Amino acid sequence: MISLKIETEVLVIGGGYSGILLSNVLLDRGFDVLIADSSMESEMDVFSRLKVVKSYYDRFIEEYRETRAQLETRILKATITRTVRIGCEGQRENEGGNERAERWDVEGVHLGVNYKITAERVFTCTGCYDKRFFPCGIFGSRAAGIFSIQNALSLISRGYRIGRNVLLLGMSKVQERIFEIVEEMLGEFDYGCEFVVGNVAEVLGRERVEAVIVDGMKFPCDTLIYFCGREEFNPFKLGGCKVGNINARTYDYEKVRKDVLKLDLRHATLDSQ
Amino acid sequence: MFRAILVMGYAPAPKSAPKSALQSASQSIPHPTPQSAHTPTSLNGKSKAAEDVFDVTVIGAGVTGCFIAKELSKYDLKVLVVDKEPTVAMGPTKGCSGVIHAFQLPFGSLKGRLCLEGNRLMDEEAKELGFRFERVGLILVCKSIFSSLIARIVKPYFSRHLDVEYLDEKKIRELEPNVDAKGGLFFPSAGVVNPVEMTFKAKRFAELNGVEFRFERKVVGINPDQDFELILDAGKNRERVHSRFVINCAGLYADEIAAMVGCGLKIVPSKGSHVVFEDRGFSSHLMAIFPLIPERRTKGGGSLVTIDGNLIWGPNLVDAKSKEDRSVKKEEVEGIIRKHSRIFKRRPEKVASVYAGVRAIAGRDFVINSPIENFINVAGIQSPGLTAAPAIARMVLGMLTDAFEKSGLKLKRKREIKLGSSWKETRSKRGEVICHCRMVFEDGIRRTIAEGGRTLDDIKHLTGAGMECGRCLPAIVEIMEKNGLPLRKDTCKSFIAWKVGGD
Repeated sequence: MISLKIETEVLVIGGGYSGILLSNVLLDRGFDVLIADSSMESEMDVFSRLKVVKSYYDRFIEEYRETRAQLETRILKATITRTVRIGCEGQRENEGGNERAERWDVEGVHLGVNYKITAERVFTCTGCYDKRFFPCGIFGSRAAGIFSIQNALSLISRGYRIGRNVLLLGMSKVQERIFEIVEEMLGEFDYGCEFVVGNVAEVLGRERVEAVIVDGMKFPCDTLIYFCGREEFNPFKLGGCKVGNINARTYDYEKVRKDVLKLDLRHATLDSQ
Repeated sequence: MFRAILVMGYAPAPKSAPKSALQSASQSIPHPTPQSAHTPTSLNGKSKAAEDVFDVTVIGAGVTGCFIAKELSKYDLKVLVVDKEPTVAMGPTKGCSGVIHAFQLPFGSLKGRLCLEGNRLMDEEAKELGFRFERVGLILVCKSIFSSLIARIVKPYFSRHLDVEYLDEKKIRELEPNVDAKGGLFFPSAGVVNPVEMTFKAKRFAELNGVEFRFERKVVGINPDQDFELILDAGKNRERVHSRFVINCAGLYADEIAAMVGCGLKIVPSKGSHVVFEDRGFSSHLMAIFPLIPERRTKGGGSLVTIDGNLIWGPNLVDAKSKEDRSVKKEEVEGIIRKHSRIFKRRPEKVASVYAGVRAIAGRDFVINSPIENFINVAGIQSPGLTAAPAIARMVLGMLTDAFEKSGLKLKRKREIKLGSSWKETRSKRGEVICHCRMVFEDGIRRTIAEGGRTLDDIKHLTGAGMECGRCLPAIVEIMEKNGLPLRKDTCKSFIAWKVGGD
């Protein structure tokens, strides 16, 4: 395998909405930024392929696309698999405040090339994923036709059909606008759709979902789309300062945006490892 | 090349075929004599194509059926495996816990003997077929001084049959710091495998050595004639195949198959649920509380580990509503967690997933017999069927050899046996990273498809991709489609979606 060594001042892991927005902020502050983007598709790409969803997220998609185009030269195609903090090298002056300096050794891989990256700062913007059905309180049969919103959107945006009559199940503690959006989007694609809020659900069906019992009420359907919140997507347990949807864990990108913009470098914690 | 060998099976020859005829069958050129028994006539008088005539037909492509096929593939036989599902291991095999048991009580029973033998054979099988197998060891944990005393008393009973060691409190603490115990029995020969991988590799080996697999074919009738005529329902049409021998490995449906030849057999489905935790490396041994709570049909489950290092608790034992009832109820999950939490000081945190399998139970023991000539039942293969599979395959081979000898024939081993590729090759690191959680590359998925992976579940179980957060599943679906596995509209098991315009 080929091995490449790269040095950068700041490494941003993740080239999705948060990573791109953050990189832009850092560049404006005069940092030398490298963005490591894996092969995984950004959520913005999925949204932009679905007309209805796109109309809701237009502002963010535009912002993401424009900024990404400007930063194209700074994007490195690589999946980061390991981050190791080597240590602090003392104090450094920055914009009048004292800022702690650190050093990171980072490993990545892409198409047979191993990358060894040294950076002074690492930001982790790997986003989040929808909780799987069990932690959501969905029991019963594991028949085909059970999707998280994330996978449903991704499959439909790739031109697949995931059923005919959808039960959209929201867990009562989660209140997000995404249900509305998904409901409207499903209508556009000619799905029958019913939206239910509940606490515990049991799926019935041998091979395909046939019905779902939500808090004692039975709803016949052939597809279940559920959502009960999202979780940090960080399978390699990367260190670095977590920014964006990895913190916000939501479909509400206004919150994600706020999380990125509130970042103050002086408070960017080092102990997130 | 091996295709040629396969066509040359001799068995449809009349029972009085001279030995020289079979020996010539192993030569490299087939000899299509016009009056050859390769073209028997069915009842309606139409002659059958040679490709529909087999020496042995195995019904069911679970772990037992695939291991029998693998063992038979080493001989000059024309073998067919049929299964109603689109891929291997879709029944009890997939739902099991992946444990290679050290022993099964009582030692004198058929399952007890086959379990010990299967366990002994497992290293050799893992090497030959290229599946991952690890002897992690089983600890029977004694929670009280009293049970540790019993453990010491019964130890000699176990050590007559297998390796066993008594662990005192300190030794257990060294092995498993999180376990609170007064003592325990340690069985080093217990291990773990990925049952789907194990079955898939056996199928791959059999296929490479000439066994034909036909999926999505449900056996709907068997006419015992000069040979057996099997009627297969292939969805749109019906196929008829002739076979001299039939081996019934139909798992949960073995009773239905046996009934087709007029043989009584009762299969009771019994469900076992498992709870999979996110914690990896929580414990590194198989564990259960000693004395094992005596239940008639199960050892009662335990705290297990998977070959990938995940913690998994179960299985329990619940009477299934039907043979396809793989649902997991909330109360079951709570029950399993309550039962096995006792072993540990600190409980694991997050439940990642739950799943259930259905055991095919036909009384207390395995049912391996030949109720009528040339028909072999391999039924009621409950726990420890996964462990016993290699031993069952050898036993069935022995029964077949005897049956052949009765007809004055002799099974002949193939000169050349092809080995499948090893797991390491399958885990190639080329292409883009598709699954980040298990670090699966696109090439690994493509290779699994090339080696015969057919459904999304195959890909998931064989590569590990999509098993954890599931975020990459749409990407896998797309790779499958690009590699000639179009998603279909029918909802069969893991076919989750279909292409718009494709219906």
